Amino acid sequence: MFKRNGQPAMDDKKNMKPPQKNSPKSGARQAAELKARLEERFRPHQDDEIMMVLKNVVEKHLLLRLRIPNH
Amino acid sequence: MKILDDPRSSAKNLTEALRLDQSITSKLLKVVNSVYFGFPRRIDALDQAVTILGYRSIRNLVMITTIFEEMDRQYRKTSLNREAFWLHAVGCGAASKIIAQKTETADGEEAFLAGLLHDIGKVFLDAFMHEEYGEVLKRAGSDGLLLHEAEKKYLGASHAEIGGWLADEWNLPLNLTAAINFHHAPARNRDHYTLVCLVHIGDILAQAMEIGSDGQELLPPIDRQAWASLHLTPAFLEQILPAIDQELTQAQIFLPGE
Repeated sequence: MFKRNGQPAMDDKKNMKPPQKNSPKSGARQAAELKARLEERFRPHQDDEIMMVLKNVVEKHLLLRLRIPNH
Repeated sequence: MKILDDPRSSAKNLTEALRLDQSITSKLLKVVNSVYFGFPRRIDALDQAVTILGYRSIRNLVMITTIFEEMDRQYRKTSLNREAFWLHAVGCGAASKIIAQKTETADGEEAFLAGLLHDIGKVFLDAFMHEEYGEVLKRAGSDGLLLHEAEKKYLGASHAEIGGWLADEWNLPLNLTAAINFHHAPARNRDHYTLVCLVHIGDILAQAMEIGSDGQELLPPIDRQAWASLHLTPAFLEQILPAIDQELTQAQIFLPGE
């Protein structure tokens, strides 16, 4: 997987780690952090239909990329 | 750059000029032999590369290599996270290319190149107005402004406008200049509208997908007309995101210093 840099919450190394095996909390925490981050970034676009579509699709994709089931 | 822009120059002219620059030649051969192109046999010579890829592809590669490596090497003073910045550029290139190919609206390589170069004005601002630009980056965050709005407010010109001016100075092709200049305002350019729209949306997708960082936390909105002109749909978007990730993995060879 390629490297990613620069996003504020990604500076925290903990957020970059894939969920540990047998550690469902780790995955749940990552999913919650990702959702919160996207919520914040898309907040100014709540009335924008296209941006809300983008948010949903990106959220689903990023959860899959982290191999986190949709919580 | 003169040779690249001269319609009379041939593959032979280009090869001869390239031979004079060892660093460009070696980077070029590295890119040509990377998984991005995936050729079954190793290409060891420039003229072989030109024959196989064609003049246009080599011209594009030289443009990327020259601009990226030189900008990164010469302008080290930085307020931007440079590694994240270049990654965002490659991400935008990958996204623009995939949308262009899947919608069959433009040449994928042209869209990739335009996406790679879209934020080049930021490197220039960061290098030549280093302290002021650092302040603008901070103020954009505290004022809740998009970066191009903050640049316009505090510096009088946006990175897109500065990038367009640079592209013009370098004699880059007009479609690339337009994509750089208008990627935040696609409706303002009708001559190269499709390419401008591709880069506009590729840029926002790369930001939303958290591919590197272009120096701002806020996401710009997608222009409705640009979205409609490319006939994009939610299902299409869902389909292309994995393809963008895959393209990005292969395109990392274009990062400076790779």
